Amino acid sequence: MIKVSKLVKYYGQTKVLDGISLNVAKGERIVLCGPSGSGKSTLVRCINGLEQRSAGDIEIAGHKLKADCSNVLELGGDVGMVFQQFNLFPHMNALDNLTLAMRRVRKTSRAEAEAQAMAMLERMQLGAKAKAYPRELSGGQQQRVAIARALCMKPKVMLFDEPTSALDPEMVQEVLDVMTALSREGLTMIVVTHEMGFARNVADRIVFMDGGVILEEAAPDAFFENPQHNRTREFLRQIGPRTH
Amino acid sequence: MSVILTYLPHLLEGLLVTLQVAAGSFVIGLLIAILAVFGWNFGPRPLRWFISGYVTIVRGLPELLIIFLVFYGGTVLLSGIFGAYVEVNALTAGICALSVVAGAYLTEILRGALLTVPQGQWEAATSLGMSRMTTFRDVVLPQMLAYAVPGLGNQWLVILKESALVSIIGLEELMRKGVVAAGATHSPMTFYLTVGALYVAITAVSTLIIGAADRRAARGR
Amino acid sequence: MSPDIFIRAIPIVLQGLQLTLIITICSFVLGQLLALPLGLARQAASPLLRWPAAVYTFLIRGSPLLVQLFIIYYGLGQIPAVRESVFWPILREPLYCGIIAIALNSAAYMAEVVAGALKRVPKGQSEACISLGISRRHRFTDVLLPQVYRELLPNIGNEIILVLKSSSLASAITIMEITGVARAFTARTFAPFEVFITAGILYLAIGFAFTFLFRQLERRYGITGTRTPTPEASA
Repeated sequence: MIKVSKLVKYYGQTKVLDGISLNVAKGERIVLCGPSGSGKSTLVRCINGLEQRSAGDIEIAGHKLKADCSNVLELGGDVGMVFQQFNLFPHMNALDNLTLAMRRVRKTSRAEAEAQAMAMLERMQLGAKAKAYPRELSGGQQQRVAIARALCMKPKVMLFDEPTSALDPEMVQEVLDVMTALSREGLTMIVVTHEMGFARNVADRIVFMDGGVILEEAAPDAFFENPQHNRTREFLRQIGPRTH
Repeated sequence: MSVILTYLPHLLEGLLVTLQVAAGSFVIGLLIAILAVFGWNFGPRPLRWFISGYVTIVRGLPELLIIFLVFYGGTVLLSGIFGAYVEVNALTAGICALSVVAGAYLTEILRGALLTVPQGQWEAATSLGMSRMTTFRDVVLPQMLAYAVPGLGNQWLVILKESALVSIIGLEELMRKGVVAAGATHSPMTFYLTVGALYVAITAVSTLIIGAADRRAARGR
Repeated sequence: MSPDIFIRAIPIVLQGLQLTLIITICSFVLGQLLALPLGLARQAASPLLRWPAAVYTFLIRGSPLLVQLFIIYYGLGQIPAVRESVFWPILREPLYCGIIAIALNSAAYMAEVVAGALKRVPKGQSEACISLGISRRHRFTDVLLPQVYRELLPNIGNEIILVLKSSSLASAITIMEITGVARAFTARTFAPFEVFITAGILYLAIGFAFTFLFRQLERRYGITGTRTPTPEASA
């Protein structure tokens, strides 16, 4: 489903990604973790065409993404993205946030789009908030609307860039629950997160990055019980036992 | 074109008058504004209303109307006093009118800048035993002026361009010189473009100076 | 100062009202329509769009409206090509020249404001659109511009007042709007105070009406929480 080979990215003089290669199979659930500045967000953003790359190839959901991202719109919603800052459209209510892309990209009729959107909001237990504006919703609710918005496009892959980092602690779990439920449905997912409890429960594979390279990849048990690198051990020690 | 060169000295004379009008109006307007902010801060309630009223009314009126009011009104007043037809000097009328206008806008700019000065400055000065007046004059006012530089600079540019309106009551500033030259040579486009270019030149130079002043002022912010 | 002249001045000054309103509304609307493409051009990726727009706004904002007005009304009439063109019937009329000049002037200032507001829309909004596959065109019409214009409502309300005041310059090219009528009447009655004060009150009333209208619009459409939430827990 996703084939990244020898991805290199420079920000000015700094090499942020140094020859990353990663293959993700259909239905696989990847958790991407690492210290700040390791390049994990940048990797995800390169994968869905939000960041240009200096070298390497990216093939995702059957699309070959150009290095300058000029053909990013060809992805057409097949690669869903959930942002740390939600990025909901503030001038539209929740329902309109969900239907906009369906109407504009897939040319769905308004009635049909609203029906699908309402169903999606109900799934998130947010049906009552369909007419609410983002500023009237809590952080957790906004992020769930954001996830619903991406899902309305029936993506083949879902990418999550630190989806709970901007939330108050009480709201983190409601979003993680939604993501856990999604993971059970066979959706291909890459999640950048520090929530190790979630990683243990959900991931098929944990990918650890540091300094722009992938240091270790392993299934959760192997990763947590038997980290190979010093830096991985260091990182796990700093993160500490998460009791979510 | 050589016709421009012929009239260039006249245009530059006009430019000088433009700068006089603008500078005069700006300075007097600034004095009015400082007094107004002072009065707003320390004065009784009726004074606040008066200042508020002044600012609201002047900002809602066309500048040209105010110029006419001062010019024709002044003429009628003076003629009444002297018993014979005495016309107000166009330069005086222009500076008077534009000062009144500038004063209103500068008052708002200074009030905004005043609010930007942290409350802690007042508190520190009081704890050092300084009176409100002294605090205002020595501690707050200098800081306020530093914050106000961009707004003041912008108002200067506005006054520079507004000064062209005084040509309508006959003041021999840049615009008027252009009108006269255009009339004499039957080439309005040539001269209005030249006059326009001269205005652009002085606003551009002013902008550079204001930018430099702002960067200097920023050191103390 | 006699109350008698105040009373006589009222209907006289009202004669100019229609032209003042026509100039104000037409110039305002035209200016806003021009400001949008101009503002987009100021922000455009391609220098071919950016530079001409930047030069235009630089020149217009650097010179007095009166000069621009004279260039259009007196200056263009000097050029034979203009006199023979299809635009001459329009460019010959002081009213149309006045509207065009004020509109072009207003557009230059408004374009800078629009460009600034476009820059301030959080990058995440565009990124969300890209990730949803929404085309560039729809990104502008459905997401970016609605946010920009809601934020700019106060500026736009302010702009119409500025255009109202600019309309008085039309009296310099023979148009008998409020200021022009007032000046003419003053010449006949030698009562500048009564006449200009009455005119002033009329301007304030019109301005008040426009401001009230825009406050209502602001209340309805207002500033949406365009700011994305600040991180409550550090990553």
